[in-house]
Amino acid sequence: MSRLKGPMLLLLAFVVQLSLSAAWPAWVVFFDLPLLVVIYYAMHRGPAVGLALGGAVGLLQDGLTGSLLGVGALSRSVVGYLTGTAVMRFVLSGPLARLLVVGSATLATRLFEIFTLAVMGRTPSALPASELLAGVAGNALLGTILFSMLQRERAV
Amino acid sequence: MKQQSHEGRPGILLTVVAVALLALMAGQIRFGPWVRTEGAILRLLSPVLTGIDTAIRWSAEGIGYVTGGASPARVRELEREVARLEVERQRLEEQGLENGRLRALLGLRQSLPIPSVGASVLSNSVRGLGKTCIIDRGSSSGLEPGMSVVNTQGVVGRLLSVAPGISKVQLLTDASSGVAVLDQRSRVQGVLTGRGDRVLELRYVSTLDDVRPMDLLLTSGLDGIYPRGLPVGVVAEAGQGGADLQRSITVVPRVEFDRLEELLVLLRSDLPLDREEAAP
Repeated sequence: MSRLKGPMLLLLAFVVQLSLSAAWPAWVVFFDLPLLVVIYYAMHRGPAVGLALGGAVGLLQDGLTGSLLGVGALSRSVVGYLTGTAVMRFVLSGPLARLLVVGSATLATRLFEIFTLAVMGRTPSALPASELLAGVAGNALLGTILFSMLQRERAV
Repeated sequence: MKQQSHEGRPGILLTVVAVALLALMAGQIRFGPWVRTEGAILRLLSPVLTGIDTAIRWSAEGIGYVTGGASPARVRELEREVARLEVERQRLEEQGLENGRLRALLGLRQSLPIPSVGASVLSNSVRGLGKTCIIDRGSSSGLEPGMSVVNTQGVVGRLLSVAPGISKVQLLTDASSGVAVLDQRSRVQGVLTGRGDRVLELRYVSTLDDVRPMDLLLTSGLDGIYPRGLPVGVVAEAGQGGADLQRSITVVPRVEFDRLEELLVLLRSDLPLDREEAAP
């Protein structure tokens, strides 16, 4: 059952993200559930899992939403790797630490995507700073809440 | 020492993954979009997306059955029909104006309806970095990459990649999208491009051309993608231009991209050149 937990979480993240994006596209800027799954597994399983899962999730998200295949995959795999490495080196178990990790990882993902698009000669979308910050704050808050719930479930 | 080599493995893996992904992106820039790869990803996610859509439809049908309201499937069908008729009305209206001007020169033109397929939006990433949406029709309904997508308000975008049951639409607001347009009032032509935010930019309009705020822009059909005469947007600001002798013009799209629901995919662009060739 625990082996199925990861794929189920990922599937659920995609299902919720996609169905909400069809119904309320404006609200989707506030969270990125598949990215939260990548961060969660990077924090608990280390950089290699974060890297692999980030690449796979990023490719799927690129296929659905991105204009250039690989941009999201690269940013998510790098962020998955860095998150996994950071958690191995520092104690990041409290809610505030989690909030910082998820917020930083979300911000890094977005900035890395914009940077990669610019390097590849594509015009990056003019993402308003307010939407960027709202996305970082929303994802950090939601991630902290969901990670605490999952942590409690693991403890039980 | 053993610990160090173990820690180094993800670093090597990261390098390999990064190089592979950079090569993938460089390949797309060099040889164009990898439509087949994107189609394969869409095919992989197709069961998830269609499953969500089916679950939502069943729930709505159930609620409708219990409350005695109209069947959501019937409502959806009627909405698509309204969209199809509205698009046809807009196109014929512009064609009527055009015919009035050109009848003396070209003679009567045939008005051919454009075959279309109605589709519903499954997911919409209008606020993401790439402005796209996914619709519930694909190659099994005769759709192909490049076909134009519209709704009752105007032009929505074009198909980027297609799988059997679903397709990805590049929205007009995407930074890499473009459409050939003309000003309905002054007939000035230009290219309307996305900026990645909520407004569009009209390019290649000289400082001598007459474009004013509130002018309606229509597709000109010259790009070979969108049929002629569909509304695209309204001029919001028209600057006088700088050293490059081109005016800086911003346009607000007619379509509300935050509220996309029922769309029409036009199965061919019905270019005016074809009709001119057919005319006596």
